[in-house]
Amino acid sequence: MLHSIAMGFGVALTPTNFLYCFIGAFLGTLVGVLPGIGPITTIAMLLPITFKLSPVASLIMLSGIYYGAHHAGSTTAIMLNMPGEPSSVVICLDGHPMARQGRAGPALCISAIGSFVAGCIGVIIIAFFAPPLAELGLKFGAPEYTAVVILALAAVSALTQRSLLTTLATAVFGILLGTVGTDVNSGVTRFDFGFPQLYENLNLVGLAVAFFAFAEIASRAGMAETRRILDKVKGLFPTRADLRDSWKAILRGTALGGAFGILPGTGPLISAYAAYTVEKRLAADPSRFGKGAIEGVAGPESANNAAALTHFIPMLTLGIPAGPAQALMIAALTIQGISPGPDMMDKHPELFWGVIASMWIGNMMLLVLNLPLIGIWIRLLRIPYRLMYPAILVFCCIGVYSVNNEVFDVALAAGFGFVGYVFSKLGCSPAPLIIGFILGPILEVNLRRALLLSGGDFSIFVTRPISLGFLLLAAAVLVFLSLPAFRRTQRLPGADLAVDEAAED
Amino acid sequence: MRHPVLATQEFWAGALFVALGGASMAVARHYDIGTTMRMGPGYFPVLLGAALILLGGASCVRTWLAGDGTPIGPVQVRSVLLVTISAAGFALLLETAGLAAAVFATAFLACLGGRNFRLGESLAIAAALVVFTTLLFVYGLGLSVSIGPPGW
Repeated sequence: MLHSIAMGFGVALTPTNFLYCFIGAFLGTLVGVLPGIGPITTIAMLLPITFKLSPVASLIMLSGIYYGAHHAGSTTAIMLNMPGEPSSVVICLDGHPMARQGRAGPALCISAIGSFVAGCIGVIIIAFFAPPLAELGLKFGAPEYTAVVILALAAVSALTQRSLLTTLATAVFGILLGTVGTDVNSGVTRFDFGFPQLYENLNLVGLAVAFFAFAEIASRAGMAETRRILDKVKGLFPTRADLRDSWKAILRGTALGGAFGILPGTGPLISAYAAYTVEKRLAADPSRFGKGAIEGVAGPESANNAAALTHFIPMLTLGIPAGPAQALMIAALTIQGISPGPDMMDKHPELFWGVIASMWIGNMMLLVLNLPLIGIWIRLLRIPYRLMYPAILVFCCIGVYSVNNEVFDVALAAGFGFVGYVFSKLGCSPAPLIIGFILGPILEVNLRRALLLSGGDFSIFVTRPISLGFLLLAAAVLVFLSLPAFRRTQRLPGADLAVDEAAED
Repeated sequence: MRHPVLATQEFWAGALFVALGGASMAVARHYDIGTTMRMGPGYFPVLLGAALILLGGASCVRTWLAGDGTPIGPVQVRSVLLVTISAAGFALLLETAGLAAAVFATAFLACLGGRNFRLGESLAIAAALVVFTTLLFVYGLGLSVSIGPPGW
């Protein structure tokens, strides 16, 4: 193990990979601070660029964008009462009051420290949990894969703010979209409506861009620019009291986030909410919350970031994306000829351990990026959205085009963008759709194989222990998380502040 | 605050999924369904379509029984139309008129969809993006598109 970690650092510290780690962290911070663009859109736009890079460098950069954005989302939450990322919504509740009391500095600092600690622990969790999970994954047969995909879909649907039925349906629709194209088993083309361009599966980048970028731009472009009052940041350092109050919150948040993040779904967002609720319940004086309680910043921020890292575990160990961002990363790897799965640790150890090591390095970089450079980021917030979104739109179009050199893909993305807008107006969150799209083919292949093995008998899924375990967990997640008690806590005041909860995570 | 069922997200989302499920079952019917043990190409889509109808229907019924739901927010017709048209425009123009024209049109149309459209500013943004994307994607990254109309 130690030898692998050392090798990982060897890979991560090469000049190229170090540079791309920095670029990823930098871009992640940038899009995390800027509202209206997030890590998923950025990853989708940059996917074509990764074709020119080595798989390790690509994954290092893309993952940096993801967890960098999660670190940085709290900056605007604290300063402007506007979350840069949906998962930072809870930070607004106590972070902004702190800023208004002139305590923006300590809030930002504790938030950065919490993120850093959570990040370090998150990397350790990955390093310890991933190998055994990958070992387990190697034992998976078709029924186990079917069950784990069902678990992933159940988790994605349940761990969301919206109506459970709607979210499940959105995920199923995503799976349906995944059936467009040639059926591998029979060679029949499905849902091609006579278009030869649809003989292949739908372009994932196109779908991601359509539902995350186009739909978001369509919503925001027509909205009035909010007037922003920027606070000056004085006195960065927290007091001893702050530190004393926060450290337990940081550890609790990290534990929550680390656990929740492993399950596919909106782990970072839910972890942040859960951490806030926990801190409020455990506090000696809960009435402090909402008025600038530092635990209300430390806990959720740590949870958010721990989850952002453990979110990579399903991808690295089983080849299953925990979120749309990871789905895009899997696509990037697949295009390079690497198919993520339990054997990735054995077949491509330099990729596996290199990425894990780079997450730790990236974490350190983010500490530097987030604190001393805070002034620059705040100034960037002055850029009006109307200057940004045409550029985002153009880059997205080019990005979609360059995957297959097909304008049809762009036209399709335009159409799906419209659908995505309708979906967002009807409360259908895009993340389950994208995850359904990616997991659908895996589900179908394995379901087919499992039923072939069992001779059409569905009991195979419950007679095999691992498969049964996953299905029970899926049922538990669905039942437990759809209970009114849990759903009611999700209607926190912060929900109204969310730019679009369904968007980037 | 109670909202009429017909003004809720959950109802219309449910209705939409019932429609989508029905449509996909209608199309997938024609593919060979096969048996449970030997699933044909049509098995999975039909299964999914049925699931969509069930879930969508359940959402409609549940909303109706509850008599309340989440209200649908304001719709920005101009923005969504123009964003869609601008992306579609990119698809249309890229291979017929070249990257420069496509980027310019897309950017300009996108600006048109915004709340405060300013002609001069939009033209400037479009022009700047043409230059930037040409430099970055064609010269920098070697994207294989023609900058002007093909053959130019």
